[in-house]
Amino acid sequence: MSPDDLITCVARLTGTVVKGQDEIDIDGLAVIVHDDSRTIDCSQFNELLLMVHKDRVEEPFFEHFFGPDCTIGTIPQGVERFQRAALLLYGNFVFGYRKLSRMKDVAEFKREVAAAFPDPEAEAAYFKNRKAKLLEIDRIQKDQTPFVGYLSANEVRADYRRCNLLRAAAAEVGASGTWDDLLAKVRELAGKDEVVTLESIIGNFQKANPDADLNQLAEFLNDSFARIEKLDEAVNSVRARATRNQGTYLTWDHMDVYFATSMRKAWEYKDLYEFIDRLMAADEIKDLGLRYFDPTQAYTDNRVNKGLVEALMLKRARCTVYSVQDTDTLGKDSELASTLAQGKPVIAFIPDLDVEQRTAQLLSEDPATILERLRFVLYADDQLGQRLKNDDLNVIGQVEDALKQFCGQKIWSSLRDEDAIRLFASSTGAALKDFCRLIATAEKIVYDKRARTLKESHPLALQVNLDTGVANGVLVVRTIPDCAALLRRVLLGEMEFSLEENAGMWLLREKISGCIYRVVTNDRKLNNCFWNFYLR
Amino acid sequence: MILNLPTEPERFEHRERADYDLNRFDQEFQERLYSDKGREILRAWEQREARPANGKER
Repeated sequence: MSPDDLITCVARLTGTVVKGQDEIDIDGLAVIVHDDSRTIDCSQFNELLLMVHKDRVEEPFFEHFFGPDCTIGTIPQGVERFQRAALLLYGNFVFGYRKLSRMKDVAEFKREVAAAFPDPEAEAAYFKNRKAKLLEIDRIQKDQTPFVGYLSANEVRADYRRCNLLRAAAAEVGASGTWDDLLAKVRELAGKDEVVTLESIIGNFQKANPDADLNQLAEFLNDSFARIEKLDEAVNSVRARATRNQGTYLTWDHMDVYFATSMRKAWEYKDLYEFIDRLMAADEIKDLGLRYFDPTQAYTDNRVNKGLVEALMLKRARCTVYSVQDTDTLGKDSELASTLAQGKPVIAFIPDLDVEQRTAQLLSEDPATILERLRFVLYADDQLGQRLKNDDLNVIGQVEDALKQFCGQKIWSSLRDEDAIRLFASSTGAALKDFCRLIATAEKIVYDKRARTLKESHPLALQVNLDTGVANGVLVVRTIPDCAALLRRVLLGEMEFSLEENAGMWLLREKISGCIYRVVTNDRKLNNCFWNFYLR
Repeated sequence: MILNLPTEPERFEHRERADYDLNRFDQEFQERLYSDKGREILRAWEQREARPANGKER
């Protein structure tokens, strides 16, 4: 090592430049540091520090970061260990050095640095030895999770009421009546704002059954009513179970993971269910017996209470997994910010779509869902129009018209007509597959862009712990195995980082996600102003 | 492209709501669904329907 190398190391250790270098005994320093294998202890290290005009350190500091086998050649590694700890604990080298280097009591020192150097074995033992929860969640199956949301539940109830009104109208008119009599009766029974919808239900029935009479309509309505009534009962049952689940979540003495998301549409509930199910079954974490708040399983009818429950879960959970779905929303973005502001890790999952797999998945969806996906990519990808070739545009136009026609002719929003869906798929044939592939490709572009934004360019992908001022970066992953592996590392304190200097700015980059987790800026004015509000 | 324009007016059940209370939605929806006369006719019809089956009213 040269004297200049040592001066650089000391500047990094203390977070400030070495001043008065013309007064340093460079020749004396050169003699001391030229032999990299020369061992040094704490007192000798302090003599080096004093030679370059820096404050000395206490034994616990030296032992922890440089160790009993310290040599001149290993000083840079000791400095790096300190920098990692200071980045993790304080986000500030100057403060970190001042605070830790002056601690004389070993136990106090160990307590102070414990958060930066957790014991993964002890953490794993904590999870494995934890007693089972007294109350389990009554797991609501994937297909029923949309009933936890208001959209699907309200669709069922609206269909139920409309169907009942039409049954009454049909009964009042009787089998001998005409279609015009029926329409007149509907207009008499219905409020003016609902007449159009009720007429379209009758119209769609007639289109699907051109030879049907009022008797057949009455039969159809009775059959529909029975099916919708069953769905309505399922909604009530699911909501009762989800209400109990929410109570169960509130009573758990441990909460490890919060899932941040925004769900409205049925497929959003099902997607999140599937993601959580696959993540929690992953080999990387299944042995830990994690407790997590799954929003597809909990329900409260009151928005104020819902907000309070979620705020409590965010406080209690050790970390948040943010599921990046279609749109950035106030809900999940607030949850992300709340977690970061508490100094806890946020793992953002943005699926790395396989276009062929996604095409097959879209093909199995209800046409209404496929149409919604088209609307999503048109909204989220403003370059889509320019990217598509004429043939693609023709496919989109053709299938979109067919989808709109199918959806417009659907009689009940809440009932899935498997025969009609099969018929639609066979009548649109290869065009539907091409259409789904175009959507899948556009979705992939949208998700890739979202991942790049969050990973590389969005300023708020790095926020601060409001108590300490320590910067806290979002960790972006693209696959479930990566998400599971990172979740394990987060919970067991096994996260791995590379320490990087970029144009004078120091940062810790998490290794699985490749994302910046901690940072120290080199902007002198910002540093001074910023830390005046945290560390004074 | 104007592909994302909806083809139909938004239905009442698809509107953004301030709560998840199904009973409140149901109440608001029924107020919207029936005319005053329709409410009376429907009640009478439901009673007639319920009588022979001796079932429960909703």
